[in-house]
Amino acid sequence: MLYAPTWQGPFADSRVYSLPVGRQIVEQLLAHGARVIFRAHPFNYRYPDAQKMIEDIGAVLDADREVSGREHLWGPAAEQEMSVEDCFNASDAMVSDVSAVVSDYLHSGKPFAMVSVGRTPEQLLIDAPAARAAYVIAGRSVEPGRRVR
Amino acid sequence: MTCSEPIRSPAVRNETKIYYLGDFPDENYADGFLLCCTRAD
Repeated sequence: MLYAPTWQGPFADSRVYSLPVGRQIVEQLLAHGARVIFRAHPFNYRYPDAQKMIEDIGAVLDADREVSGREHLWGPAAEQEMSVEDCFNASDAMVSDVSAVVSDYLHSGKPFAMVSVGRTPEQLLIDAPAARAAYVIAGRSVEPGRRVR
Repeated sequence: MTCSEPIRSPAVRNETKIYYLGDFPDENYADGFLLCCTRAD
């Protein structure tokens, strides 16, 4: 599974990135036995809070690798040693949000999910028509304490 | 989770792909895309 969230963006009121709930997303992917490729948007490294979130998710993946032996990829392995197309080709499916990777991933023919951040899933279908071809995950459903089904 | 069942809706998937990426054959997709761009106003 590829998890490829977008960056936080310059304005607080227009954020569409799922990174704040990325840990919950990745934990659920792991709970379902997935091998995870986590490719963070490079612009997130401009922001200490986002960088911390990336590192937290990476730590979850590293810990699971120790236990499960699954070769999760993140950091330079997924963001520098692999192109975004390499990540697409290595995945069976993707979880993202309102990101350009979504429209590119359409070409793969593989299933993908989009997290609706700051709007309802219904509104996401209007604001980002690519969601019509996606499994839409309500952002609130993956907030800490809630379980993704 | 809301699910539009894209796997069971290949038509929706294909329509969405064409909306975003154009409608060019896989064999020479890049050439088709670039040619179309050069003709765009």
